[in-house]
Amino acid sequence: MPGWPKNPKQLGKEHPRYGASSLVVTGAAKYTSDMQPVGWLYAMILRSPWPAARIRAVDLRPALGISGIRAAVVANDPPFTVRYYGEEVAAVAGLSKQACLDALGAIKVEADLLPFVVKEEDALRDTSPRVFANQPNAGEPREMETGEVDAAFRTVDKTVEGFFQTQVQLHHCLETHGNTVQVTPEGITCWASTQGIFSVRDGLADNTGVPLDKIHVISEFMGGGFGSKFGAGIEGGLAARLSKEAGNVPVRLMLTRFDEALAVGNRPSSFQKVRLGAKKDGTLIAYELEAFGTVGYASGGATAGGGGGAGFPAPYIYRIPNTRVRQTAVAINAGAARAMRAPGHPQASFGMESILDEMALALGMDPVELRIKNDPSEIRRQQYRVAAQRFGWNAKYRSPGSSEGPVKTGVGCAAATWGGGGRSSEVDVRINPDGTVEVRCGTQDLGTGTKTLIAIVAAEMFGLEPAAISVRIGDTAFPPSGGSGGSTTAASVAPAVFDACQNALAELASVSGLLAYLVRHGIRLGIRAHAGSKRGQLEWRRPSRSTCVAWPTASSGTCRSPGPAASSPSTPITCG
Amino acid sequence: MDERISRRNFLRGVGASAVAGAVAKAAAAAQSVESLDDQKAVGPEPIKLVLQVNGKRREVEVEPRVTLLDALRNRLQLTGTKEVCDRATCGACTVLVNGQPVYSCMKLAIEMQAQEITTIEGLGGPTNLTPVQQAFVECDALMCGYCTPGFVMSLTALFRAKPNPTLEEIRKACSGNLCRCGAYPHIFEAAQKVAQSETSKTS
Repeated sequence: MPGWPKNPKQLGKEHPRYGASSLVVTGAAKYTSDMQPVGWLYAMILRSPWPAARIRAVDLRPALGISGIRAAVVANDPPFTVRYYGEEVAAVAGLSKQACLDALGAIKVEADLLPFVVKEEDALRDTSPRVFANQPNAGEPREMETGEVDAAFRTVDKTVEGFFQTQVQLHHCLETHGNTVQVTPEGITCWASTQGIFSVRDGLADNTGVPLDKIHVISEFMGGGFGSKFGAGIEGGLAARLSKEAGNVPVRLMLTRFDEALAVGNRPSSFQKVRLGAKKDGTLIAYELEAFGTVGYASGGATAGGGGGAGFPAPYIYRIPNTRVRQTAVAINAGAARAMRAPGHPQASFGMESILDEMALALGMDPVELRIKNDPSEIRRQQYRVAAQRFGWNAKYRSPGSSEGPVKTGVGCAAATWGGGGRSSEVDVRINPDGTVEVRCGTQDLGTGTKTLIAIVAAEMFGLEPAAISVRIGDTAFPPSGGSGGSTTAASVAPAVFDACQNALAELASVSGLLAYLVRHGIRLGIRAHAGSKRGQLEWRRPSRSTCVAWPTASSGTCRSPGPAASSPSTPITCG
Repeated sequence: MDERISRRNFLRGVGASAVAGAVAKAAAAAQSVESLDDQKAVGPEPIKLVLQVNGKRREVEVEPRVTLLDALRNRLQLTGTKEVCDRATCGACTVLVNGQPVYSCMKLAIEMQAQEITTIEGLGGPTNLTPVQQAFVECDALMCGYCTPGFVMSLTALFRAKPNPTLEEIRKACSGNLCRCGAYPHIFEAAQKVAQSETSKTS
């Protein structure tokens, strides 16, 4: 079997973004929030105006009396408890945003207000209100210890301590979270703004009880996710229920910008008490971290986004033989955390790099040298040297506070990492009788160029230009692929495209595979023996069809594409 | 100084200055204001509006509280104009009103009658891109693309006013547009490409 070509024509070259840019720059690209299927309704969510409350009753009747309102549902059957300002209480669907706004205002909610806590430090106190009555706000700490920390600290030349804090951060994708959903007796169609069409399908199945094979999720264009857009979300389930309630019409439920700040994830905060010990020469010997951060009302660190809890990698990056780490996730009455752009790493980097700067100062050592001394990665050590040289580090660096005047300026250095990698993905490659190639994969393009890389890999394999490949993604009708998170899409999809192309080529190159292809596509071949000057020659003919077909050659793995030549029934077919 | 300006105080102030001019005139003015109010009292029910969008006369029946953005996207199916913040901070909903870039989320549709409105759909289509759109494609000035129509509109207004702006002017023209993916370097590159081709045309 042919592998990656030795002299690639497409891989490793610069290519324009595949296909869709001209749709985006003209406003013709249809995002989920742009979907307006016939008969669609606008939908909005009523959210808790209380940080904690027991909801006794929700009266939807006044909302249903508003002109233009077609459906209203409660988020849960009362009585139920809401645990943050912004938690879903009810939802409405109607002919316009204005009707929905009026309807939300008309819904009557009876509630008993409960005590609440919204600051991490407060939540840790035993006397504070509990987010969940039956468990403490502080989760079970995650503890790790290597070496002999206390003994090691006694042997070091310098010890520095610091307290570092990072705040909760919001994702704020430009396209808010949401879906356009139509539920019919035959099944569900859902246009989703998502990083994972299959996880949306799974979420809708959980929410509605509709089997997976009856749920069709589509995401052609999506306006940003950053880790917060996996699964159908509570809003997806509500949209499905509204669609059914309104008589199986499509319902578009996109969150408002204000909703977006409350209920669809955030990066946890961190409060880090760090102690670091080193030898005079800068060798790090001992490290101790006591940290906590909040994941909102999602206690224990489990989050809707998959990962993204209050824990973070510690010690970060550097080789330290004696370490003790204790991290606690704290529940407060606020929206839950979700994975956000390299979850955990910004917090980890900020704390570690800050204490390293303190150590450099205490030792009187150059901060770059301190890092090079303790970073186990040879690549990063070289990167530091190259970067320092190009930046002009030696000329620009001065120790903190040493610049003249009351306004201090300076330069600094820091490192961060992220893993990435691939997971399983399925791809379907079709070579059509007219020589065109289609690649189908149930992945999605977040704007990171997934379609482009699929086109490049397939083009390389077939000896075509990327633009000649039809790439079809963003649809659960295509073979399953994973969610696009944690920098894994390219590494998941590219090998699967490669394999599928290779298999297709191999199939065509074998006699049985070729025959199967001819049968599958209904191509009948004729063989004509020549008389006269071409006497003795055999010519393959395809008498029954009018298009020419491209055949791959087994040796080179390339494909001769004669184009869509509409020719007479006697067009010869070249068979390699 | 710390007396707050309420609408009532403000109107009273206006009235007082009118009185200072001439009592009779003030009375007449008050009357005309009243009759104007009568004429303009519309809603809350939907009313028929006529909008000039992309050179076409479009009729919509909306409540007076409906924004231009809502009317464009949800009544006229012009979904190229994006709703992101809905509070005048991000620029995704930028359209041109009489050639000027305007946040359509901050205008009521009712105010926009008899104005020339241009949305992203009113520029080039996918097969006949304008120079700004073409440059965005060539410089890959987008990732998720949700902010793109707003940037294209802001820059289109800039290039209409000044065909060969400096980078500083380009940045200023885009300062009301937000890109969450961080495509700014390519966006500025695209704009500079347009500026350069304009410069070479004129020189």
